Amino acid sequence: MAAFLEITGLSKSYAARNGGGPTAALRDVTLEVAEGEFVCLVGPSGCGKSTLLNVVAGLEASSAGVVRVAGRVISGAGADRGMVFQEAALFPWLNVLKNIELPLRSMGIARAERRERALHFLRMVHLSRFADSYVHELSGGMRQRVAIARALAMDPKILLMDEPFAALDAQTRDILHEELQQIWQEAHKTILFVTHNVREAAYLADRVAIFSSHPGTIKRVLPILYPHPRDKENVQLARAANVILEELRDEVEKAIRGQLGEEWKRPADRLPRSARLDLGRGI
Amino acid sequence: MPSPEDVVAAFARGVRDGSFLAGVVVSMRRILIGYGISLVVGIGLGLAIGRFKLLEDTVGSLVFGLQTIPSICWLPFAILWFGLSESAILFVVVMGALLSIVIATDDGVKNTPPLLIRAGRTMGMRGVTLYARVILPSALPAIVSGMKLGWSFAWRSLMAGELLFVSAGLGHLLTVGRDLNDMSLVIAVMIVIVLVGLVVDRLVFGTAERVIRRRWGFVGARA
Repeated sequence: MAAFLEITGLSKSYAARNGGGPTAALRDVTLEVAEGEFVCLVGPSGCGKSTLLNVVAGLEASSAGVVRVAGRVISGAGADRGMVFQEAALFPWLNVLKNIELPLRSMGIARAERRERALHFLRMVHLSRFADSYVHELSGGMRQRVAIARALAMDPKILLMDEPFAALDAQTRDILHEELQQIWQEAHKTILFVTHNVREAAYLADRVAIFSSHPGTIKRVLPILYPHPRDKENVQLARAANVILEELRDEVEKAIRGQLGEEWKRPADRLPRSARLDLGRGI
Repeated sequence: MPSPEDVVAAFARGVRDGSFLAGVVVSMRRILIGYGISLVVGIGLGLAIGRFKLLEDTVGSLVFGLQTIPSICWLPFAILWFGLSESAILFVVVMGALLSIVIATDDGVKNTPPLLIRAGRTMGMRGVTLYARVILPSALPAIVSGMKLGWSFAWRSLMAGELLFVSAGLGHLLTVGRDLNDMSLVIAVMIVIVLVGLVVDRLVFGTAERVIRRRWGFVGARA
């Protein structure tokens, strides 16, 4: 299958702030995503995973490299790539329904169809009852639901999600994970999802791209072959999460050392063990 | 200093013989024109300054400088340019109201949350569309407070302008009171000025602000 989203040799550096050379945020990142695939980008903070998402969204220009969506090279932001931000980014002067309709208006879709589409996706995220509510009347989780419905209603070729559940409480997050999985299967969307939560990545993704920092590159792409829909309790997923965590450990340490300097030492990572549980020793 | 009874009597006389009503009508007509011009030019200019760096560096700083000038200082200008005419009064009104509207609009544009602009761009909006659908509505609360401020400046400038000549407005009635040495008339007219200012403030701006506060969730803490 041909790649649906093709990121080739992508680099991004920022001009230095105080005299030094430019800072490389991304270096030579190459990633291919198939149509309908769910790919998570995980890595320590500052590894450039959000930058990559912004470049794909067209919100930031790359220094080198090409991004193709469905074979076409992207230039600038466009409605063919829907984005869900960490904060819902809803418009406070519009009610929920109008928020979802707004991008459709810019896309030149007729009023009747706008309404119908908005209501359809509002039902998909179970918020029909709140169509007339304003943003400040909604909880954080509800706002993200609206943001997801808004992005889906644009019928984008690809859905970009930048830590969409990071600011939510754990219970709400768990429920939204299950729902996103279901929505993804219903809507048949290609999803690129940035997170620093390895369990989230293991639960949702078909493949997980693990980043290393300074400069940001993809260290390893880990397929998670377990079929959807998945169960949170699944042991294999927990194992996959541990593999990601292990890959990330050095990166996270590197990031902390980068911030705190050599003074920082990793605490001894031995869990206190009970001799009783230590079966098999000394046989 | 006149007694309260004298003021009440002067007030009643002015209301009865219609001179207050006539004054209010004339003044309101002027302020509607002058304030209307200020709104159109002020919001337009504010949006442009907020959008274009070049305008900000040039006109922007000039606006901030001029804002410090009390509107009464424009009187000599007005008389030299327009003579003792309707246009002179309108000029003073516009100069009084315009700048605060420009500044508030520019502020509102600059304070648009970047996240909302980014969200708009990922929806394929750019240029005028982005401005009309995201930046302008986001700036609306700031623009309304600028309009409110502009209104009170316009009202004050109008009264100053009307003192200029036989202009038939409320300001002119003040001059009449002075010329006749009728302090009770002066105070009665001042009361009318306060009342008109208050009514417009409450009715027009009070309503607009209430709607916006509710919509934007600024009063959400109560719920």
